[in-house]
Amino acid sequence: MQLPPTVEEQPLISLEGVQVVYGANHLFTPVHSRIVAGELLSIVGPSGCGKTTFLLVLAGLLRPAVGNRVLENKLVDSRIIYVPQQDALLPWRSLRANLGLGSELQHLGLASAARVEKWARIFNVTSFLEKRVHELSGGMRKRICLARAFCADPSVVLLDEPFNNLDFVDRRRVETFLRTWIAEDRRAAVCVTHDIEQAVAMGDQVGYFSKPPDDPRNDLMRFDVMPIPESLRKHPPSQRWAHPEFHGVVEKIERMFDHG
Amino acid sequence: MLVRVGLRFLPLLVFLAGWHLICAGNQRRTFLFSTPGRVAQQFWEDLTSGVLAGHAGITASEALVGFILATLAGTIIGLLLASWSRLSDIVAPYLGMLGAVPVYALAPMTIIWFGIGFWQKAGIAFLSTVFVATNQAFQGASHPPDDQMLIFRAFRARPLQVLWKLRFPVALAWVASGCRLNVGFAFLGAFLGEIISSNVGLGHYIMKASSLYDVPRVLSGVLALLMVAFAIDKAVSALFVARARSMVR
Repeated sequence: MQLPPTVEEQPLISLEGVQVVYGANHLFTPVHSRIVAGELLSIVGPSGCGKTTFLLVLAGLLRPAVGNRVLENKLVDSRIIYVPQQDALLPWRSLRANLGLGSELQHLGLASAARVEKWARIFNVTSFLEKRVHELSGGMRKRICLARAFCADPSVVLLDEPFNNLDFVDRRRVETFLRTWIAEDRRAAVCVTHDIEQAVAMGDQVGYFSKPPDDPRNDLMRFDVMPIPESLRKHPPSQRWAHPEFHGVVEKIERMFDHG
Repeated sequence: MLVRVGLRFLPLLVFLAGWHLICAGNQRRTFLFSTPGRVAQQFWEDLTSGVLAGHAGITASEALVGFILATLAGTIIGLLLASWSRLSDIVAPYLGMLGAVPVYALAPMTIIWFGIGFWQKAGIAFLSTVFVATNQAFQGASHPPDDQMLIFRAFRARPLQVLWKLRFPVALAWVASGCRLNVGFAFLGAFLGEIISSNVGLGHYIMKASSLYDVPRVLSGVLALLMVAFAIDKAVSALFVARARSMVR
């Protein structure tokens, strides 16, 4: 694996030869991965390949059968927040209280009302904070869920298909937001998506699960990481789509799946 | 729309007309089944004199007191069990069994336990609903939806936070959604208690009339019972059930 030039320091989270076992089956070959401050790792792969499992292991919510998960010295588990694919909003709470759930559970001080307001503004949900959960569309729910996670002030967010149900405009907004959020304060994000173009547009590296072509006996998925070339990386997501190198990178990743 | 609502009265009219045609003018049948006219007359008499309202009020209050106490007790016990797994491992099978026992079989004993007054009827109503309420609260609190549980884990909620902010609300929603069934059982319990021994209530009114072979009065009591049960059922589902359903999903 080729490391990006920025990582002289210790990664926030590293996985060392991690394997997960469901029943009698291993899910993938041992995974090595480093989550580095200031970077966004996009994850792509066919359905059922273990992307969610990978995030759960990173979050510390699932203990791997084999291998280790190592955190940077100053990082604690509660600062790593996993954002599941399902909304799981609590219908007996107002949306305001739903948005504040994470910061409430983590006791992030009395200023939490202001905190909720702030994140509601950022995710553009202020206008329906007083509504009930069942009155919302899928896209609105998703935005509340994202705001709920960021409101708890994580250092690392692990996003499981956060772009489902979001419309085109919101996708671009969230991508841009993620980049600025990461850059602010030694933070990192991991984002599972099934859209390779999007993975390339916003990531610093793209992690992908694929079947290795050279070993027909081995039926397990393998995890690899492809760094986005520096020339592409220096542009914000909105400008990468039109970049001459963009489609080359996308196709390179697509080819990894074709022979899988 | 008006026609469709109007059509709903058709079966009732057919029933009443058939009843009248078969029974009116025949002394034996009238004695056994009375006629719609006589029942209506009796009902109107007892309604306007306030007799029926008095009896119905007593029965409804017995049922409601038993039901409310059982719902409160059941919710508290269910939550305790759910938050104390060592206890629930021991107790849960008994809870299931007790829920399956027809509590009405114990009804005669309630005279010994609670006397023959108001609390005997409320007691039967309580016993016939408390197990369902407990079970609802216990099930709701011990099985919050997986996705909601995952959110709490993702935010590293502590067990006590999970209890108060997730298990407790889910249990309440489950209890509320069981209320409609339960209020019917409570009503049946109170009524049964009155049949066993009483000097007021719809059960008493009907028992007394039937031992005097006063069929119009029996049926007018049944009609009152039907109306009270219907009203309580509507009130309970408007208050709890609809709201709970949107929460349980």
